[in-house]
Amino acid sequence: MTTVASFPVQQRGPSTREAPIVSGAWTVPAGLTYIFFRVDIPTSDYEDPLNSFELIVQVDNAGVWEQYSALTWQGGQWIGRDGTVNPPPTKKIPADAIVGKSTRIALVVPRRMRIGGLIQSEP
Amino acid sequence: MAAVQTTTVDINGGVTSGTSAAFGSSVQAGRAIMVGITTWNSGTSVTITGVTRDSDSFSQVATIDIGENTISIWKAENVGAGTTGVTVNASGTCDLTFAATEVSNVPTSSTADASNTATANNNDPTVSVTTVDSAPQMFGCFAHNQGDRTLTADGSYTMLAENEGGTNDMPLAWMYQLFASSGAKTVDGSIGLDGGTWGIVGASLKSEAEGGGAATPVRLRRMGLLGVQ
Repeated sequence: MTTVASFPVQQRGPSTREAPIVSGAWTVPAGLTYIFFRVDIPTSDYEDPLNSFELIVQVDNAGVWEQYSALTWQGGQWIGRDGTVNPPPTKKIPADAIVGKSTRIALVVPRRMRIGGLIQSEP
Repeated sequence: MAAVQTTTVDINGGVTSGTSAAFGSSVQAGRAIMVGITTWNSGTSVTITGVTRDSDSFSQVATIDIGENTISIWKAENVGAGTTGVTVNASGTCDLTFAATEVSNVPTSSTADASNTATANNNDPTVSVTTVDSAPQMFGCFAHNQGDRTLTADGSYTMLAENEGGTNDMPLAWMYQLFASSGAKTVDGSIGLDGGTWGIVGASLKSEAEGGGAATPVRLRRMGLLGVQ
C-alpha cells in the first residue's frame, strides 16, 4: 500500500480552533481498488468514553465537497478480534467510483483529544 | 439487469456507525436496495439500530447471531434517486462491514419474497430458502468467527462484495443469483479448507419488469463492486 497523506498525532479539537480538521485534496489515481484510512489515538485518549470523532471522505463535485463515505467512532477500551488492545480504528472503501476525482478528508473532533492518522491506497 | 451496483465499507476499532461509499452512479428511483451487514463485538451484544439513506425506509429482513458475530440483511423498496451511500447505525461499538446493492426489476411495494438463516461449524455456509416468486432474486450474506479465510460464492452465485478478513476485521461475503422458478433454493458459499463456525442469511426479492409485469431472468455478465459491467 502507498501512503497518500498522514496527520501527526497531536491535540486536536475545538480549543485548537481547527475543527473540523480538513486534509489537503488529492486526485485519486487510476488503478486503485481501495482507499484505506487508519486513525492513531494514544491509549488514554482512546479509552476515554467521552472522546469521539467522525471521519468523512469528501469528493469534489463541481466545486462542492460532497460526502463519499464516513464513520463515527466512540472512545472506550476496545479489544480487536485478534486480541489486540485498542487497535487503531480503520476504514476501507472502494476507490473505483472516485478515480480521477479530487478527494479530501474531514475529521470532526467534538472534544479535545490527541489524534492522528494516515491515508493509504491499495492497487 | 437486476443487481445493478454495489457499494461497501469495512470499518474497525470501536465504531458506532458507518456510511458506505457513495454509489458510483445515481440509483434509479423506485428500485430497491439490499444491504448485507456483519458486526462483531467482544462479549457484548450489538444490534443494528437502523439503516438509513436519505428518506428511504429500511427494514430488517433476517438476522442470525453466531457468538459475538451478527449477520443480517436489510432492505428498502421504492428508494429515492441519487448517489447517496447507506448508513448503518449500531447499538454500541463494534467492527462493522457491510455492502449495499441497488436492485432493479422489483415491485415498488411488498418486494420481500422469502428468507432463512443457518449456522454450523464446517467450511460450507449453506441455507435453503423456500421461494414463492417465479423469478426470485436471491441475496446471501455470510461471515465466520475465525481468522482470515478465503470466501467464495459457490454454484452460480455472483460475489457482489467480499471482505476476506477475520483476524482483525469483520469478514463479509455478499452474493446474488437470479432464479427462473419458485421453490427451495440453496444459498451456497465456502470459507476455505480450514472452516470454522459460520452464519448465513438468505433473502429473496420478488421480480417485476420495470414499468410493471413479470420479469424475465437475464444472463448476468461480469459483475464487480460496481455491478454489471
